[in-house]
Amino acid sequence: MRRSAPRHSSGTGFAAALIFIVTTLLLIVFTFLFPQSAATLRAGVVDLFTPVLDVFSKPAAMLQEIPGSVGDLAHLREENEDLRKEVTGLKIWAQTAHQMQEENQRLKDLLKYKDEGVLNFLTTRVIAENTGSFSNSVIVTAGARDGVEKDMVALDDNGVIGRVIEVGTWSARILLLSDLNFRLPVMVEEARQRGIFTGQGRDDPKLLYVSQPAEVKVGMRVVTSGHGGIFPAGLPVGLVKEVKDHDVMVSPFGRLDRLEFVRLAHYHLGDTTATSPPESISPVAPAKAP
Amino acid sequence: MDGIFYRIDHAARASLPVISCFILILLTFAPWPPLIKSFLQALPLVLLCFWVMHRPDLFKTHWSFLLGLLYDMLAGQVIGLTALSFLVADVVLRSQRGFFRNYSFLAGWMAASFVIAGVSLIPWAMASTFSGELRELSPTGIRIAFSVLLFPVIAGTLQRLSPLPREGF
Repeated sequence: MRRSAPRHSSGTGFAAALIFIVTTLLLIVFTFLFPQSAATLRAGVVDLFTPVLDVFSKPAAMLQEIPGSVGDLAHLREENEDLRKEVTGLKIWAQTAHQMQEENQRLKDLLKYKDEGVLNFLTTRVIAENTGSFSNSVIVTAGARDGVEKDMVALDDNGVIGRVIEVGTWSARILLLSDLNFRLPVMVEEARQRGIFTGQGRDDPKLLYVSQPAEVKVGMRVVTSGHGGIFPAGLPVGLVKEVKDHDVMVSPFGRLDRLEFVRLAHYHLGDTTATSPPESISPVAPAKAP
Repeated sequence: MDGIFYRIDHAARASLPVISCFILILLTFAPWPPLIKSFLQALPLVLLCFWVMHRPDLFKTHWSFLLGLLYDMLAGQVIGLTALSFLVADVVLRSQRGFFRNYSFLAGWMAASFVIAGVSLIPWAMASTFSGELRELSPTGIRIAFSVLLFPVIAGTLQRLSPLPREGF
């Protein structure tokens, strides 16, 4: 009978492996004890690889577009008709919104309301993503040199998708809504019920600490509540998908599985002078034409 | 001149294990469509297992450590989590080199499958420990299944690409 040779090639090799394993365990402990230093270290390494990640992301982005392009061609006429109808509807909404905006402004002036202005606003491209059960984040090509700061709000065309957690010189990492560590104070708009939006990995995000979940119905809008001092109130987050016992599941508005461009905004809450318009910083990458 | 080209060719082939793993890790993080992403996420560990079994002389333990760290940094997760998985796979497979040399490809595939399944559970176990509740196991299970099924495909392809004198199974 043949026998395996379960011995390591050399004693020094085994000792080296042991040293590496101990170092790895120490690094894990280091990450938990000094999360800020670990984040700085990660941001530095990501910065170093940003040009390579940028190159590698191009074919992936092209591939993302192929199914959509083929589908678009097949349904071009149908889509055109739908868009015409939508434009007609939106024109009416635009007029209504314009009137409401003016009325809103007049009322704010009367009340001397302190506005939450957007100071920094830029559009940037996703070059890397890590989506899985345990961590969900994306890396974008804008960093500190472009004015990106920690805790900036990340949005796509539809709503909030996450927040900036690490900033390097050339890149930044956005923690997505679906990450297990993501927490966001929100409000179910129609029910006026507050809760904490929590990421659940691949599963639908949940609302925790809703005082009266019975009042929450499927289809209600979930928006940021403005508590916590990072996000302003009223940003669209998602729709209530399911209410089961005390669990409220939310379907996010943001398309987390197909992020190509994201907008980063820094809301200086409580700053009364901050009223400069969006795009005050030149965009790093131009947003796609509609 | 022939000597220089020979040396360049030899160096390129000798660095293939590390370079292939490095490129694959970078590719894993590109924003691919979900299905391709699922395949790619399973590949780095498969490739690492193959090279440790097949060419341990060209893929030293410190590369498992460094590539694992790179993965953790790019993933934005706990630094050392993937490095630990890679190192455990490296140490276990390296210690069984004799077994892979003497036994069939099928036996090597089975052994690699056990190692892949074992080390893939490390991040799940850690995430469950840190969150204080058992995390869903099915995504990890799917990744293990992908890895196990892809192993013979990867092994077959890379054995053709690496004509340097063989070691291992």
